[in-house]
Amino acid sequence: MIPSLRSEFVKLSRRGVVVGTGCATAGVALLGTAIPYITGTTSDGGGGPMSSASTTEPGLASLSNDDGAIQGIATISKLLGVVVLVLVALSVANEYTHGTLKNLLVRHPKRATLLGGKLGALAISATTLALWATVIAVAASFALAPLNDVHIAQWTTASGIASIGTAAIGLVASNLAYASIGALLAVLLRAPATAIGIGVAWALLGEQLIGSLIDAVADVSAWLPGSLASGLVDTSDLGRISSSLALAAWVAGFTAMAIFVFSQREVDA
Amino acid sequence: MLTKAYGTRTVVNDLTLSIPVGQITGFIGHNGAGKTTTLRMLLGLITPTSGWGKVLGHDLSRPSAYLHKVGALIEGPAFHPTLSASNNLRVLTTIANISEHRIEEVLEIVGLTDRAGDKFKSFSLGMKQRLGLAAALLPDPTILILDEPTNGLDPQGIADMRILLQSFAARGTTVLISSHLLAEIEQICQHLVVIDEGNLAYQGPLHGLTERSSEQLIVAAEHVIDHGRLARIYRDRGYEVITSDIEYCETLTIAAARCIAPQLNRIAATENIVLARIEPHTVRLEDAVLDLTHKRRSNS
Ligand SMILES: Nc1ncnc2c1ncn2[C@@H]1O[C@H](COP(=O)(O)OP(=O)(O)OP(=O)(O)O)[C@@H](O)[C@H]1O
Ligand SMILES: [Mg+2]
Repeated sequence: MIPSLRSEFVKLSRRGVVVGTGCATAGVALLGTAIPYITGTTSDGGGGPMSSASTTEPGLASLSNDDGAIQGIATISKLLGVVVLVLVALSVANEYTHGTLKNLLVRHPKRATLLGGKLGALAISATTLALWATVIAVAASFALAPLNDVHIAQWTTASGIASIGTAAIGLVASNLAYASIGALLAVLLRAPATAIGIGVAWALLGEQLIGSLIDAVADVSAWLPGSLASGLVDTSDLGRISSSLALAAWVAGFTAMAIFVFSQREVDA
Repeated sequence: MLTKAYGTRTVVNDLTLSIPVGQITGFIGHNGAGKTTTLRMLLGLITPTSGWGKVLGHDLSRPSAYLHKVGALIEGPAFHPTLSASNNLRVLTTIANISEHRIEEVLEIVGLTDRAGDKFKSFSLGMKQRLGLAAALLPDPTILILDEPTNGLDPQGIADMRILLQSFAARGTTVLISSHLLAEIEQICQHLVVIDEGNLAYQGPLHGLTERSSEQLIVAAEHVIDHGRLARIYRDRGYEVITSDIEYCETLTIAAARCIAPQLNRIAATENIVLARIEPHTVRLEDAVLDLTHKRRSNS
């Protein structure tokens, strides 16, 4: 597992990959942070199982609350997830399309640990990107607040710091969820374009559509991975333990399925 | 004994191979004959539909027991386009716990040292092929499996590859090489496996094929003038002389197996004719293979 993980980092440390994912993540984090300042309204981006109905407050008043530094990021956690999904889907599916998987398997025939190590490296990258996004979002908030008469006194209180920590952890969980979706799609489809296409469509639209369909039968859409991930990033959300466990179950399930399919399938490309 | 079917099409059929250790074996067959499929089974990339096999004494179902001693290049070189040559190799040494020193060593062997830092996508076809060979050499393999390694190589590159493979074989490495360039195979292989539509058509020493399909001997007397007399003598003794114009020919072709050569020599000697040359009539490998597959198909 460790050799495979280290081997993956040789590929992930390409300048193009580091700069590309770093800039994309920073860009999305900046966008999310700037949106309330630009539009002059804040919105609750949540939607976890226990969350109250979405609220929109007039003006920038809520930005002066203790979680003001990371409110913006909650609204765009899906886009951060998409960056991670693209990274993972490319890293996994390109091994098929480039034909490099056969080289890896000849040198490392144990398939479960091969993919396990690879996904481990990608999970570390997804975590790093989540923390990077938090840093950017907080820094940008501190820069933008004084220009817009937002009070930042609450941000540096204990509860302010705690909410930044909570959001960061939520973002890590969210990124890991999108990473596992990307990994499973890439292993199933073995082509980056289709895996990314389906993954992005699911993240941005599909889950809500399917959610509203099944909600007609039973009120469970909040337990789908995307909703759970968004809920965890939103610090105002309640019921964190149950949604954390549910999301962990999705991630474990997707990963196990990816490893199972990867181990069983023939390598004829 | 290996069988591989994709859906209803059996692409490798009850193939029973034995590859001699420490020799260069040529693996030939037309497009779609099942060469790559067979090699993939040997590498544990695909599982045989039925049958079994052993590599270095280990069962095919446990590739991790033997693959660390196997180097392979399957269906052309495959690398990450935006990664440098040496980093592409580093991906493989890292995952297999091979010393990083090997990267420089194998790049040196294939003559890519001064391009080590260049991206794979900037390489020419022949350079990509060389990098593929370099990757196969990384584990210092006991068995080297190369699927059409000379694709895209220039004449110098092909000659280099030949010398390289021969030096590996001399050190005891077993080399299995598939190719369409039969002239190449003929020059470097001692052993040959021919498959046709997934079936074994021939396996054995190279000369067994190039000589067997003819079973003819070429005889030349010291003086060309003696050929007419010599041919008549052989005919009198019951040998079939194939050459038609026996009075004015450079050599005589006699339908006889290799083991008959001493007798032909003895007969000539008793008639006071000195033979300058007596040798099996070899056909080009290409013709032998075409002949072989033609016969196999008309039989079935
Ligand atoms: N994944 C696959 N699914 C279905 N059929 C396949 C698959 N891989 C190979 N085949 C079929 O198996 C047969 C043998 O293919 P293989 O690649 O082994 O041929 P080959 O001898 O290597 O040919 P070439 O000289 O062209 O490389 C072909 O008919 C091919 O279409
Ligand atoms: Mg082939």
